[in-house]
Amino acid sequence: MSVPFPLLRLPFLPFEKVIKQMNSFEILILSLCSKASKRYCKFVKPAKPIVFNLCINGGVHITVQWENPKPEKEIEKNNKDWKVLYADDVLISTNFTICHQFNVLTSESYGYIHYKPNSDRTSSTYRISQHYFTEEVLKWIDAIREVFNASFHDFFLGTSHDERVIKWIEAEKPSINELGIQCSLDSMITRNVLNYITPKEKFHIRCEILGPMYFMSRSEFDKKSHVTNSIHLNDLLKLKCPVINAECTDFTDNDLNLFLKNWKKIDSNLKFLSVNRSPNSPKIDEKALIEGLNVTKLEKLAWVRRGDESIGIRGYSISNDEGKMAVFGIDTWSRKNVNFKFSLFSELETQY
Amino acid sequence: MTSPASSSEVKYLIESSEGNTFDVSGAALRQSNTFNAMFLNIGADGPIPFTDYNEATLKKVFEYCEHSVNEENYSGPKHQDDLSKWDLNFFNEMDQKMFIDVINASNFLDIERLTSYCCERIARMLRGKNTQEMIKVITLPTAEELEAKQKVEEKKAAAAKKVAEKAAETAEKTETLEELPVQQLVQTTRNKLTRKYLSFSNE
Repeated sequence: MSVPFPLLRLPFLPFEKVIKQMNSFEILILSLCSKASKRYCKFVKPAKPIVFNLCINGGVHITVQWENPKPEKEIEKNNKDWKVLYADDVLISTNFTICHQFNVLTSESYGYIHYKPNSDRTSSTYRISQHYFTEEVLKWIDAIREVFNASFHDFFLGTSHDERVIKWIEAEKPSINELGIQCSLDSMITRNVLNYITPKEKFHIRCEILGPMYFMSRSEFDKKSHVTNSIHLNDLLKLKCPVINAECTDFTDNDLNLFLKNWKKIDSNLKFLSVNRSPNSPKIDEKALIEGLNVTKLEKLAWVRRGDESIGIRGYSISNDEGKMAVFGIDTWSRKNVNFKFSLFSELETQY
Repeated sequence: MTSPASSSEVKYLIESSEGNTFDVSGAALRQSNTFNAMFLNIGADGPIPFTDYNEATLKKVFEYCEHSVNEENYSGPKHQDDLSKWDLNFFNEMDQKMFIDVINASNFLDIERLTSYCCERIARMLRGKNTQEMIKVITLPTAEELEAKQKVEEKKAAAAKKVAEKAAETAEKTETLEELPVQQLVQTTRNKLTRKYLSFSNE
């Protein structure tokens, strides 16, 4: 059919059937064609993505993952020699990239021989990247949010971002499960962002200098000259986020002691807290930390799992007036002695 | 001719928008859920009017139904590669206008298999395309069309508002009209009585 097809003039039911036979990424592309196509696609209520992440730091990186409809006939037919994990349809241009990755969600084995196209659940992950921020990329983000009724799972805002991003955050007040920022982000911007976004599950502050991935490769000069706009511990706690993992935080030994005393008295939803003082800060005084608290020294490491990482806590156990128990300690291993960790007992891998 | 007894031998007469009639087997017609809901149990006296669709479209739709009578139970749309030569010819013979008419008729008659195949064909047309390529393949409403549509909707809303206002006005008037004869009656009676009283007192 060489003449353009009047897709949007079809009655709703056939239109819905057409959409249901397209994969999620094709629906996204269709919704980007015009305002009308976006509205029509939204009416069909396509499936929500499993993952929807956004990282803005210089460039913009959108990661969106959908479960594929079953059975996976199309993939099977088009890729007879396919592997379990591969990337196809990579459109590379100077500044805009879309990468597609196919995954098996439920397979007993990682070998492609064991993949059962008719029963295994599969997903497609699309990584959409632009080297710099444009209005066009906002259209993609808004289309995913509106058409698929998606909210962000992970949102990271780095130092290098466009002013339009902040304006967009102010206007949209997006719903976010996990919010991450860079420690060197301007404190005014951080406050502004936190006024409009309340992370529901996790808040993390990443530091390029003290972060676990970069620590070894940084020079002493880098560490000494590192300037941060540290958020105070009390401001972090005001977010009422269950998981807080913050590099470069501003707190004194007294602040930590007060936090533990308050935790004993006031019930909170905090499950895990890890805070690092900025580099070049004095060590945490353990005596000041536990002063006036009824705590028990842990005999062995308490392990807590956060994502793919297992974190060991060596220190003390404490219980509050509600009968909840927690462990806390000072990390003296990989970094300077400025890390404080706190975790509820229920979050531990090994129960005491 | 149009007996409710549902045997594959039974033929039904179908009437198109041109007023022409042609017959279709009961087995083929039963693929239409609309027909099943409307006529299967009660039967139809005379031709069944599907007068929103022309003869060519209806014949094409029922040609498909006649062909798929003996096919196994429908289980979702087939992959395009699994379509038989007959199926492929059936779709390739149609021009776009006929294709759209067939989708519309099939949607109205609720013939799931045909509608799904048509929709699969459209979805396939859009597969693997980027935004620019997709815009070339589909006709999108132009800004003028959207504006015109919005104007029509606004006009409709305004007309509906006017009708509602008029209805309210009429209701009000009816109330006053209903009141008027009573008031008039009271006034007339009062006048008559006054006149009578006056004439009586004059006497």
